Amino acid sequence: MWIFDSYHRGAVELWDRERDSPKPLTFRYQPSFYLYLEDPHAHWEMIEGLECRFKVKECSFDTVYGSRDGYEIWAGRDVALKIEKQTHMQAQLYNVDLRIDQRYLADKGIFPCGDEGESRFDTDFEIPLTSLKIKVNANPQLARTIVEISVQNGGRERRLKGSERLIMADLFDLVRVIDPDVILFQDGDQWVPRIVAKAEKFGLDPSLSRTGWFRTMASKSYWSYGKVEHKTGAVIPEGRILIDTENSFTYRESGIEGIILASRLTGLSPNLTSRFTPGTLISNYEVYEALRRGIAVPFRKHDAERQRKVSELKGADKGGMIFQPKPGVYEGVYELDFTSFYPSIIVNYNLSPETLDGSKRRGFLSSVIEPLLDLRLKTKKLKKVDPRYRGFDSVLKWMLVTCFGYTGYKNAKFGRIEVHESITSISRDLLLQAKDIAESMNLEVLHGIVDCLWVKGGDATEFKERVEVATGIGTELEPYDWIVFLPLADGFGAYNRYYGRMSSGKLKVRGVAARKRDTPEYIRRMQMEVFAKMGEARSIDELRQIVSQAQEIVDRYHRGIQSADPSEMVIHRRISKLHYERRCVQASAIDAYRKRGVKVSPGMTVGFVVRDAGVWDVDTEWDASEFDSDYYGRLIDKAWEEAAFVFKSN
Amino acid sequence: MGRTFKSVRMGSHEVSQRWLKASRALKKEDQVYGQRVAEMVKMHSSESFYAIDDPLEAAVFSVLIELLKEIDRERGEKIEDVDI
Repeated sequence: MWIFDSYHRGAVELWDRERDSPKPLTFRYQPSFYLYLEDPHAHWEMIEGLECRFKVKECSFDTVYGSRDGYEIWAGRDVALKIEKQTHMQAQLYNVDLRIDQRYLADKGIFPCGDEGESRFDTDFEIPLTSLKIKVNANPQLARTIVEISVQNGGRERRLKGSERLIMADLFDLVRVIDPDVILFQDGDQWVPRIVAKAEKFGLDPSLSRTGWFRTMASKSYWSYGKVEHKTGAVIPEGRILIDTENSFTYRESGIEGIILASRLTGLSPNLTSRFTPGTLISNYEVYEALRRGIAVPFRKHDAERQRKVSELKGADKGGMIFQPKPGVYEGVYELDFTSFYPSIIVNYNLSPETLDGSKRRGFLSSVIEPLLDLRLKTKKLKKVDPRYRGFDSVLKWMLVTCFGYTGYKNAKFGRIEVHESITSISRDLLLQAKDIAESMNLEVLHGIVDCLWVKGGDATEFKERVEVATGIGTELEPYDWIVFLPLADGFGAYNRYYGRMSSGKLKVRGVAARKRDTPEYIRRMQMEVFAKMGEARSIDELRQIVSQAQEIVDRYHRGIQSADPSEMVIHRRISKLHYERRCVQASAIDAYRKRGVKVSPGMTVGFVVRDAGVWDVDTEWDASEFDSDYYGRLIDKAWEEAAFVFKSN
Repeated sequence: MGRTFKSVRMGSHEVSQRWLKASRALKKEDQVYGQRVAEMVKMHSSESFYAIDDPLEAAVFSVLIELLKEIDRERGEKIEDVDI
């Protein structure tokens, strides 16, 4: 059985690639949940009432904190909520809000996108899925009607034109005939709801779904790491994988390989793994692992943080270690990076909610992260010799990056803020240890940030070996011909703004205009051209000899600004709110979008061109025909300053 | 994920800003010392957060280190003067 889609619609439905059937396998499955009461006698009437209405069994079940004596109840979430209310939140409930298809797969010991007997952690597997690419040739934010659709099947491309009804009918016929398992649809989550609605209007059978049914995922705006994000809703077909190639983070970063590997690891269908954030993926991976190991998943957290004074909180919750750089340009520098630093700390130090008391038993979190970490270390090596592993490596990297953050997330099933604090506390000590080793070897520590150090002088290879032995964590060493640490406005070194030429000839650029997503393409292109010129220099001396050539690039861009294409002046910025008290560029952009009839939600990214910076007059990226050349000229100067710093510093 | 506190570094920088502002009220000949002390506050604000949670403690720690370094430098210069 090779399952490529799963969901619950009255029963668990699984689509098996090997059966090649137009219908899914259907399984009746009524999941239960667990109830634990500290004082069950106080609630005997409720228990009796439950026993009258539902199947209830006294049992013992496992949680990460150990075994509990309680009840297994075959009823739904609505009943669980009533129990909470009845017991004044005294009841501890488990396995209440899990995806039924995911739970079914875990119960049966199977997983999506893999054969029975195969390991989920294997990276050498086939993806026996057929695919089709679809693109509506219009902007989904502006177009009201569909006038052309491109369909690409292997090397063949067809353009569907004509009346909207004809285009729809042709599209559905094509999909029916080709019958792909995967549809790669640019902006699919914006177009498919409209296509399905139009199918209904024209009385057509929307063959994008193999059953004709679709499931809806609502759009939402939410806070994440202090920023408002927006997630577009989706209409998801059954029996076919629909990937929005433009908006799926996992697809953009990791391709179809990443989506499939995430599906194998989390027990979720590829339709979901393509739409979920890495944080939701790691969280679901932990849930699937818990279910597979027979550990009950808490409905609500009962391991709340104990009361602490603000001073204690400040002392405990500090984040990673930083060594502030002295701004300047340096030669012969080595960057030492810890590989998967935080996940390695979780595993090596056995960090988990239930081991914080110093317990010696293997913690749940550390034991589930360990195979994921081992897999990442393997794919990181493999991708260097075989690009097929890039997608696998990327999705694992993102899942592991977020596994740390999720330990501090209030809704994480197996998260606990104290684990979060322990990870950062250990990380600070380890970076300090690495600094001590460097200094004992007469290496100068130029800069350090969370999981990497920049050092100069001495034997860097031996330094790397000694750090690995002392910390038990793998590292990577990158030599630089030269590196520049940029200053803050007050002249002190910035942590995350630097660029340099690695000995491999590659440039590494961080925190400068070219790396910021609101930098217009024209400015980005100018700065990258300057950096490319600087990248030809292999030493500080050579670097300083190219100042006039670099300046010439900037002058050329200044001269060319009048005749530049306005589309290169587009600034993309995320909108955090819809109402601004003062006139500002974001408020003007929202106005311009509204005038164009485009709905804006918090967290969305808007694209605009500044027509007059004096009064913040802007046009949407689709309407811009002119721009404020003085304003963009100032942006060129600002970007040039970041590069020119190298010529001014000693 | 986790909580957000104003970092010791940010707190120290605010101390530095206040000390800089306070320097303006000093006698003209003393202002330069106030400004130098305000600068010294920021020299070790990043590293000191490892063990210090109070921005003022971090500021004093940073200034004391810099003062000792200056004393050492001056001593070194004097010894060199004697050698000459």
